[in-house]
Amino acid sequence: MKSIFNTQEYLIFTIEKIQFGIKTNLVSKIIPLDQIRQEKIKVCWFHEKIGFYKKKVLYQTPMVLRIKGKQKPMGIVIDQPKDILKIFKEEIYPLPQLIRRHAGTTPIESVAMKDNTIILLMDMDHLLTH
Amino acid sequence: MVTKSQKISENHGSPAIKNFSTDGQIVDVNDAVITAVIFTLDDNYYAFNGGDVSGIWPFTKINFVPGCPGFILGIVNIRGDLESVISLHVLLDMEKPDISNKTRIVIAEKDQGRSGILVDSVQDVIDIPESSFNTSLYTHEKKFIVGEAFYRDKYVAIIDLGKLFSQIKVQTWTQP
Repeated sequence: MKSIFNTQEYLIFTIEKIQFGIKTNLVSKIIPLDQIRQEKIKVCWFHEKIGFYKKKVLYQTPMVLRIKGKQKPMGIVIDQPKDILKIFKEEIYPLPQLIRRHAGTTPIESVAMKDNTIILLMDMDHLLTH
Repeated sequence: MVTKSQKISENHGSPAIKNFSTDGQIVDVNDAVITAVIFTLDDNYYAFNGGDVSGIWPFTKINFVPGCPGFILGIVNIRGDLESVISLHVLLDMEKPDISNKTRIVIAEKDQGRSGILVDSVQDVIDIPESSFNTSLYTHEKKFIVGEAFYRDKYVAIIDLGKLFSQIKVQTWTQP
């Protein structure tokens, strides 16, 4: 049975038509890319961290998420942040066995299936150290 | 002794089975049959053992998963189940396929391996006498192709899903 106590809020964004989710409690701020210099934090691009097969990835509306890391805060450039969704535990599935085996070092933690949409949920600790 | 067509018609008689080409060979009436899923890739015919196939689905949007090797196309939601999808076109060094209304995703499972497999079309699901599979002394560059049979006068390459999954497991693949 779905309960609000079994939910987690995720910030949903899209890169190359793929939807990703990051837990909102790990995000302290969303900053436009052109204002990031004021923040004085290390910044990396999301697609480089997750092993995108394309070398060039076109960002439509790039924004920087300031992430509360275990050590220093860090910025990660994402694209098209569009929503904050409450995702129930029942809507979260492990990656299929074949994908887990072959993308063993992937920072993708699990997959949410919500309203017939597939969202790749990120393990931010893994992502930041990846 | 009867011909294959006599034996199959007597025992089953389904339209799909009647389509099976016998070429007039003589077989034993006690010959065991194997259910084969006949499908095409790039106009060539292939077959899986039907016992290893749990479903055949129309094409649905495949969600790419970054970080995977090129033969893994991504994941799909099939009636609430999350399945990976692999490309035999990539594994068999073929061109990327065009998606059409005949494109199917075959869900296959064997020896602890499970995945959806993208094929150009599924032609038939038929019972074929075990003796008509030529697997002894058969060698192919791709180790998961283990034999051949004939379907409607066409050569059909038989894919062993256990060997396919185990080869995928041990081999290192590069991204496209």
